Amino acid sequence: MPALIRIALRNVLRNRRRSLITFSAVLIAILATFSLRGLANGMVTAMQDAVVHGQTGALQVHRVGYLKSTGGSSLDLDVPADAAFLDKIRSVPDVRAVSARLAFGGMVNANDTTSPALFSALDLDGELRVCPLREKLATEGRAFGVAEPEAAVLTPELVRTLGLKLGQKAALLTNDKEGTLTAVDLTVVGVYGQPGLPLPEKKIGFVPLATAQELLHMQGRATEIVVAVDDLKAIDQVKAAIASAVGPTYQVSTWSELVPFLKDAVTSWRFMSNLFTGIFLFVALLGIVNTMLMSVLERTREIGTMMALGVRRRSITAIFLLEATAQGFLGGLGGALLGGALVFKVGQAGLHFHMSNATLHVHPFIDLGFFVFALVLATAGAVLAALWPALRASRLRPVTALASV
Amino acid sequence: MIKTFIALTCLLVGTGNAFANPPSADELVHRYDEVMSPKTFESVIEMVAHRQDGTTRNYTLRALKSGNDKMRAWFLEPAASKGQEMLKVGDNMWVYMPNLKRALRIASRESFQGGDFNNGDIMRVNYVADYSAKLLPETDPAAWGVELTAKSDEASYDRIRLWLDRDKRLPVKAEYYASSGKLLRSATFEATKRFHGLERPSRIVMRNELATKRFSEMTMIDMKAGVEAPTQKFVLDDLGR
Amino acid sequence: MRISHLAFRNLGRNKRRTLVTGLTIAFGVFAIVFLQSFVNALMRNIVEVSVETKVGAVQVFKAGYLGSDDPLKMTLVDSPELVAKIRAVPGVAAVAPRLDFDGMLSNGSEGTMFSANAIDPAREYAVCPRRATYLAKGSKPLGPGSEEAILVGQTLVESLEAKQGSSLVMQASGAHGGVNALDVSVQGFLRTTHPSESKRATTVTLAFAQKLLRMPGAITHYVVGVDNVDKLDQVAGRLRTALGPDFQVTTWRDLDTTNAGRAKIIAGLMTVVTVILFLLVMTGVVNTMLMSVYERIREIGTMLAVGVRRRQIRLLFVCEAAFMALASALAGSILGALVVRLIGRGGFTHAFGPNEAVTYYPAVGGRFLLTVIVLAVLGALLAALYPAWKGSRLRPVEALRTT
Repeated sequence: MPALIRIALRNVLRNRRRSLITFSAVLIAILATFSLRGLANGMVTAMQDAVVHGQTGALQVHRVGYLKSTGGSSLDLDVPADAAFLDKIRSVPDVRAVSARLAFGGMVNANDTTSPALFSALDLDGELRVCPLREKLATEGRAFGVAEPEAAVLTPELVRTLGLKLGQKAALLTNDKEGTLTAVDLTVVGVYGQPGLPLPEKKIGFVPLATAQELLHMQGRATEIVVAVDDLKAIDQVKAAIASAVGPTYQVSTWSELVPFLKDAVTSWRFMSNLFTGIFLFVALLGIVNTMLMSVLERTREIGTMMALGVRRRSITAIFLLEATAQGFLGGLGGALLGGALVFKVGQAGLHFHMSNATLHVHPFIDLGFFVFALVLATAGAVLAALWPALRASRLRPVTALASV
Repeated sequence: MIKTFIALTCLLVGTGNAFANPPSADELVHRYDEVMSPKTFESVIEMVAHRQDGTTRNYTLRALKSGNDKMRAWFLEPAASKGQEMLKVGDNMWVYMPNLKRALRIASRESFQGGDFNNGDIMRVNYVADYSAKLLPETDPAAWGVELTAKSDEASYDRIRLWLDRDKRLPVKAEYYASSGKLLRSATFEATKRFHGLERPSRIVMRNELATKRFSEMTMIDMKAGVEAPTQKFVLDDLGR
Repeated sequence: MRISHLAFRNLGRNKRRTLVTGLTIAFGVFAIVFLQSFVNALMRNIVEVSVETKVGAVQVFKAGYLGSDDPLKMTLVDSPELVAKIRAVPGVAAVAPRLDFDGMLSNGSEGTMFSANAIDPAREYAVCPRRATYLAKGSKPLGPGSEEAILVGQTLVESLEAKQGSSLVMQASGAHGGVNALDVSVQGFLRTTHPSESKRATTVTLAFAQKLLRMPGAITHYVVGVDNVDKLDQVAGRLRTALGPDFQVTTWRDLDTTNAGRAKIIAGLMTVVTVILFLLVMTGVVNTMLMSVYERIREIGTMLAVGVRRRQIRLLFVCEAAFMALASALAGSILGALVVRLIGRGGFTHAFGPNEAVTYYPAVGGRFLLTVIVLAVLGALLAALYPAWKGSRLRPVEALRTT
């Protein structure tokens, strides 16, 4: 066996051109597959990230009954937003950051027009810790700073309906927790255009949490607590831990429970990308078969000579297969390394997809498992591809083989 | 808050004489408008709104009405609403917020109060003008019943049934129907009192017959009819003064 | 041309070599066709969900409806003349009326707000066929004769402690007057993608809505179905011209921005993927061509020795490549089209979530097939250039000497 390996390797090295062609075929195929895989990974992560790091956070804590309530005002089902409560959640292992939000409905008044809107009050400081993508909350203008209690960021639809421009004032009119009418003047400092999936409601306004709490007479309260975790994979354990820390009056939900359709989107993406990767690999394999076949055909005389010299048919098959293994492995390795480097480079820079009102930033990456998988596939594929040509080679009649050109 | 305006429409000043003969339908309707919604009056009302989940909301306000399409209100309770005012002129409605020092327009079709009813519809109460009346068969020995049918599409209710007591001709009960025939609301008028010489029910309980867990109570604490209601009081600029 | 004859004969003479290279191209083309068919399936799925389930391909509103703060005052009258006018526009397949409104749904003791689309069961499914199927398991779509039947979101019904078959009261007010109320019966549940939809969404019949709102003959807009979804923008443009400034014509992309965004992303990505695949195939072709050249070194040497010009040798190789590419691209695309047609007929069903089994319908257009064939031939020509050039550069003596 070792002798055969040596022969196989020498054959590979001896005929540089031929080996190079096969090698490059495998390399390019693996490279292409890597690119596709990296892209798919990036897409899926971007979509998930957009939601987890841009909208919902990893987990959220609500009062039991809040999520299902269809009533006009769910401000009654509020949660505490004081330091003690937040610290209680923060001290749960694997919790990275915690922030409070207040969601409420109301009307926006400007230029003698009025429009209903959904409001989300954020503590921007804490918010950026749980949802870092919220840094780009506004595409036009900017998000409100800590020293700006009377600033707001509105969605483009809202701005359009009311005929507002940046810097103009609008009044927010709503009922406080007791049902009394309450209002505040806000300056529109930004237009919402956060990267990520579009929001379900079109008319949304973002305001500072403290302003909303004062407006609604809900100081120290919120409608939900948003939680970021260190490792999304351990999310279920963290969920259980938080649930026991806060008690049965509150309900803890994961991001996929809050936005159920996202999981479907992710699954369908993965499915599609797997399908396409499969097609790619198939084409690649065909290419390998092709080159292997050509190789065998080219070397007919060589094979004939070997056989005439007494080399066993079995050994001939073995030699070809070993050559294929070497080329497949090397080509696969080359493609994987090159592909990995390419994906890494593109991943760092990121790809930016512009949608209607938001941009999706995709950072392709390759998982280690796939790396190994691709390598194994390339080698195995090359061997498989070479199987028929190798068998064919071994079945040549020495006389005819020697006679051919 | 807006629900107070249902109540406002039911204010009345009564000087009425009780006639012994069965009155005509028109007489009864006139009487109702006279008692519940005199041309101009000022009043202080307390509203209790009972919500679906069992909680209540209380409001107290002072109101000034002029004609059929002008109404102005100053909120007194709860403390958080002090300084807030409301103005309705025709189909337009505004709310004045003291901390903003200006008035904001409210759409009359909005339902931010929970979708129960329209703000605008409740304000318009002039049964004589908007409805044609017909006597109901005498089933109740203590009350006269009339059935009002809307004259136009714009009326809040397609049909209203009113009962006034035979003694003093003050409203005791009302039923409000949709054009499909469904009973939307029902009201009872209670606790007759005298306000500066005018006798009328001081409390009205209004029920939502489609969501019976909801109802509102309106209690008149004070009222005075025939006050001066200068037009300038019903101008946007006057809000907050 | 003599060269072309020779090219042809060369291909025929060495069948195995031709076959092997040809198969690479054929399979490459097949793969591209197959891939594209699934891309089309994916896109079609997105468009289907939006266009055929919810908003329709193109919509016609009264000018000013969108963005009005009292939309029920900006309604159209459902008139056969207007419908005929819309249908007369080329590309329009069907027209259905809609009435959108809000109100309150109550069970007698409690009430909750809803947002409704009223449809005319007789006309709706011609424009939005998937409305009949995109429902929760066990629910049937609204049909003629079930005037007071409604379909609701799951959470909405649960909040009123109602279930299938329950009787509820629906309240709403139209353009004039106060609120009206009618009895409704819960026929089934809608399939919703977002929790907020599940709390609010309702579907009722148009006749019922018009009765409830006391607005006979009124509609908020028409939804228009088109013959060819890919051409709906042109149809929308034609409608705008035909109807004039009193009307506002929009497409599904204006109303369903979520799915429009998704479609855009996928379109972009898939272009990238197809290009990569194309390049992949082309490298295979280059490979094979190179091998072919090297195989025929002696042959080339002979030709050169006999006096054939280098230019002619290049041309010969290029011709061979062209013919072979044409034949195999044709074969590959025909095969691909057949397989796609086979799968596409029944559809390819994949279950994602508990009630989310999606059926994809792979399909390719004739124009795409033609494009692929042309590109394959061009690509093969390009791929053959280097090997052809290399081949022509051989020195006859050395070439003849090689084995």
